[in-house]
Amino acid sequence: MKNLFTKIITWWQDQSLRWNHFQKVSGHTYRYGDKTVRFNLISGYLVPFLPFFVRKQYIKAMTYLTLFVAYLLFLYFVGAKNIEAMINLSNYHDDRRVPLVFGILTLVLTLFIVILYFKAQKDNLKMENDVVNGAKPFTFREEINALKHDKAYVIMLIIPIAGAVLFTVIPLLFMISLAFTNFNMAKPIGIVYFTWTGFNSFRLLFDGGANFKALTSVFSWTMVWAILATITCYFGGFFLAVLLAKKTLKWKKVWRSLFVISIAVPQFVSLRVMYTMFHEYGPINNLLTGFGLERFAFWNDVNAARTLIILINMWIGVPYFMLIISGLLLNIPKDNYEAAEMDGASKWQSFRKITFPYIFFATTPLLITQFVHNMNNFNVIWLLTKGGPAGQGLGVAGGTDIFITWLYKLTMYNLNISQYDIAAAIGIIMFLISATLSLVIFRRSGAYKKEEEFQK
Amino acid sequence: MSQGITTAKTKKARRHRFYTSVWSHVLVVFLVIIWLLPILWVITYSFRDGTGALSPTFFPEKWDFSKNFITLFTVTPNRKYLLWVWNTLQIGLLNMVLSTLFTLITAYSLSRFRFKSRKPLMNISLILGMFPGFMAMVAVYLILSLLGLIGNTWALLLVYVSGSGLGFFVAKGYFDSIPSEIDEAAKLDGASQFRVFFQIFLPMAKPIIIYTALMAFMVPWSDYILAGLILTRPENMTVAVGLYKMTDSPASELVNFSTFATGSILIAIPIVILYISLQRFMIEGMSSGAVKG
Repeated sequence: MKNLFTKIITWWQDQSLRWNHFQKVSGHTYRYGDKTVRFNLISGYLVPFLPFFVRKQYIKAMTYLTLFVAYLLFLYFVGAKNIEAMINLSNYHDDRRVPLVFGILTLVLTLFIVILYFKAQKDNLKMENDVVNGAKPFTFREEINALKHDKAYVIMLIIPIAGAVLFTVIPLLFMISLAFTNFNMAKPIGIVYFTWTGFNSFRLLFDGGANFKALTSVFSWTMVWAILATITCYFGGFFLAVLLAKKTLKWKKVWRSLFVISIAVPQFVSLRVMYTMFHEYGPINNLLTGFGLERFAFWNDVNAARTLIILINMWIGVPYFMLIISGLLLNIPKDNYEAAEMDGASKWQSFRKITFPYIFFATTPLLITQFVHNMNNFNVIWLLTKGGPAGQGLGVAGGTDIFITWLYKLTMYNLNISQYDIAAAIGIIMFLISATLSLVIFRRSGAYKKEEEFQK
Repeated sequence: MSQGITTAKTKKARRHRFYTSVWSHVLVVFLVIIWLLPILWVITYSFRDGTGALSPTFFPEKWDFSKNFITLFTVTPNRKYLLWVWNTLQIGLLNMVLSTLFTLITAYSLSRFRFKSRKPLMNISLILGMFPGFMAMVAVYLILSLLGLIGNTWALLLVYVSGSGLGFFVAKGYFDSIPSEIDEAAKLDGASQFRVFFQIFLPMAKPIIIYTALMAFMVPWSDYILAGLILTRPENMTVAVGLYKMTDSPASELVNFSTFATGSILIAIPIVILYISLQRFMIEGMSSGAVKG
């Protein structure tokens, strides 16, 4: 926390230093500049692209011109209306999701244009300052050259960023804003009557009723599941990797390839098969009855279902860890083992003192990412139990529901009864959990600090 | 005398080694059987004769080697299995080309350029990754329906490709480990960044290209949620959506299982061959993502 404060303060100091610098440079440029420089400096504030035309930097000028004009046209024809409708949501009489989406789009574009405006000011000042100092501003050819070399990232990143904004950022902001409405298809509100309700959906979640019971039950199972799934697969994979690395073992490649099959088969196939195998009338139960035991509906019993989920997840996860750890085992220097053998260490001792610490150190970041991945592991839960069996008093949540499957049930499973307000609130809570976890653990782990060093 | 002891010792060691060898082979074979049993079971079910619920025995009670295949391809008119495979192949290949390009070019920009918004961009993508994926999907569905794109195969491709830039982390980790002397030298010779990227850099990054391409190619073969929302008509479904919907409801999960098994096996076999032959690159990609976090 203390760290964060110092960071904010240094950031603030940085900004004010930059602002001082900007003022100083612009004052200097204005004082010593000729008529054109002064004209450009002043007109740039009002018409950001004009100075670039004056200096014949046509690419920059045209880019700024197009973007600013396009933004103004968008604001005039679409944006302003929708922003207004978004603010006064209760006065809008149609599908209210539309003004919400377009309003958010307008806000994102506005933020972008504001940043662009400041960038234009900086570019302009730099150009005029260069002129005052006797340097020539870029010619058209030099502009193109810059875009091919030092500034090529601008062109490289346009499409990926546009795609991410359109289909990730805006959808996420839309969903986040739904958490502060009462948009709920299960109630007679529909898409036409929902409106802003502040933190009400969070209140609905935490008020101690069925929702809260479901929240705590889902939270605890999500955590238990994520921890157990990660640990079982990690140690299982470790064991398998060591077993497959044994000197006496023949046809190593064949065995390893056979285990890869369980990663390769699409999960909707393999998990569906597993589900059917453990079905009340499936082959496992046929075997049980063959031994004279009773049929057992594994998927209808919460504890049996939870155990099976973790075991079946090993079927997929163990080979995954095995592959990675196998690769790492080859990297351990052989000398270490030879030295240990000379000292009379047993196999088990050299495993405990050499192999395990080495692998464990190398895979700590992987353990964390796998933990977060398992928290959001939709497929294993959904394809096996659909979150069922139904939990008592848990509302829509079932006995094996984790957050992500609960979220899915609340939104897309049946679009006619979606409870978007609650779901969005749950999504925000999920984000807070995984963000805190990643921040706390990543910041402390050596890998993160090393990365920082490496980047600079 | 002493010689006798050593031979006894080596004999003992040899015997010990023999036993561990046998023991480890037995264990590996046992584990392989566990791992392959479900696969074997579902293969036998694709040769099962008889419709309706599951067979009362572990393996099918009656066998027929063509019946399920005929059902899959011809009998049921609204099950357009071959069309599904063709759709998936198209989306998979296009997604492989486009997504790989955008993922790698994003990774390259963030690994090799130094610009002011670089760190903020990386942090924002990290933060975006911490939101549950489904959260955005609701709104993606809405945006696509506002654009009139629901039911359109290309809309699915559009969503896949748009998200590809955010998956740069693994590739960037790999790129960071490639020494920059080579591409710096090319830059000094006056080559444009695009030429450096395509002609000098990419040939050095073959494992990660193959890994990224394989992952992108596999997306439509395993995505049944988003694809299921967007592709609603049987004609433009992908094979994942089509097969998933076959056994989705409690009413159909057992009835259609033999047909489902047949259809699944037919797509799983080429995928498994692909994975096994590209194993090396997968390990490299997975560990470069793992060690970097």
